[in-house]
Amino acid sequence: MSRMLSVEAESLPRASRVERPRPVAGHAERALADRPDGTHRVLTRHALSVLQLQAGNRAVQRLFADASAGLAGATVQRCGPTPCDCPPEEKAAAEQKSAAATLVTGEGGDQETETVTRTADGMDAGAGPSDGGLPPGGAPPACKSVSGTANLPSGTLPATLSGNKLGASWSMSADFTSDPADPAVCGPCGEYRQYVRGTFTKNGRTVTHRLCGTDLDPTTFQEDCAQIGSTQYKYGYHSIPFANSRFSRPDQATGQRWDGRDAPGITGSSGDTLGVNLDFQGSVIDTCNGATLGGSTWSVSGTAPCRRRRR
Amino acid sequence: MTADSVPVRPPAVDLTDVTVSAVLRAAPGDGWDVTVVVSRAPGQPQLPATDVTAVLVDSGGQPLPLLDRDQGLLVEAGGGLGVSANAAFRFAPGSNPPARLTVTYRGTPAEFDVDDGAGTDG
Repeated sequence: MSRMLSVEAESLPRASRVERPRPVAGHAERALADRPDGTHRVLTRHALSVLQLQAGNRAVQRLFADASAGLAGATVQRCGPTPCDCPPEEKAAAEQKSAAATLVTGEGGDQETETVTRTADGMDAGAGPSDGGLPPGGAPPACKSVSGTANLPSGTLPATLSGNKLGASWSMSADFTSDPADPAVCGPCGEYRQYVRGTFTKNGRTVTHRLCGTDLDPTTFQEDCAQIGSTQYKYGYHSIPFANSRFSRPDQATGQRWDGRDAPGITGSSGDTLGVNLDFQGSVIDTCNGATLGGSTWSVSGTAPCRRRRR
Repeated sequence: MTADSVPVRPPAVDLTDVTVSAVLRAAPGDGWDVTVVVSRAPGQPQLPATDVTAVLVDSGGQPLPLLDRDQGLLVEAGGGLGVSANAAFRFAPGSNPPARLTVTYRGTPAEFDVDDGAGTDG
């Protein structure tokens, strides 16, 4: 068998199978642990991709490196069209057939070589750098560069009264392109950051707005953030999906499209005079290469009395 | 916390679906002002003031008399990440400085210690 691990697509009848896995921590251990009935789990390509995403390329590499070195008994068995425990001669034939392939996909005899890289939601990573993601000691593929365009507000937006809320609202988006174009390689790199300063007032007095560990400051920009019941919410992070901040194309983990929505404002009671005076900075960034790709600054400003309800 | 506020510990307490923090200040004239800030998800109806209570206890273990508090619906400010509802309370001065603040949100308590040294200039 080739020292280079071969992994087959789930759709193929052949399957790579890992037997008697060496215990590894966390996701890898759960993914490879024997079933309660004593049989062993089949490590499909999808499962391997998820394992790579969750445990990391290095952990997966280590696991299979140990296996190939015979340290703890984890072996990869190629069984051809027959599920594992096939006869030795059939196993050998299948191994010979696939020895040169890094990764085999496709139907029937059509085979192509591509790279396994970190993916989410079972998406195919597509072609990528030729390190394969799996060879023992191989470095994970690198994202060379990301560029991004953003659709953000600019200038001064008037705060308007709607019911008892004085504020403004807008949608935001960013589209990222990258080298390489593979979302599995560069998808996690493109993100958005939003910073804010200013004041909310009721009857001329400041209303406290908590960010994460600090209060909104009148003069100092801080990252827009909310800590709600032990969860932090911030715009533009792949790791923080919520209704007003989501990645797509293809998914949250590796998406190259970000959509967000903000609606800052102050809600009072009838008779209150409300005020909003906020400055925002929004930036699209390449987190892998430490680059700012562009952005915008804008403000929200306005004062209005909450109308008294008619009786 | 602001420059004229008295620190409380912890700075915030996470409850199930909100985070509660508090700002304690010497009131103009005499007494103590407490602003309880309830951080919660956006897009919900305004909180009634009765959802939040505050009890300020001095270092001798005596609760300070509550002089005033918000009525009706609480003002709240924020945006698409979350909003901060403010509940204001005013307490009478005591013979000892404040030492402990107990806030309840919808019946769930959050305890804060007032930092040593508070009240020496209040």
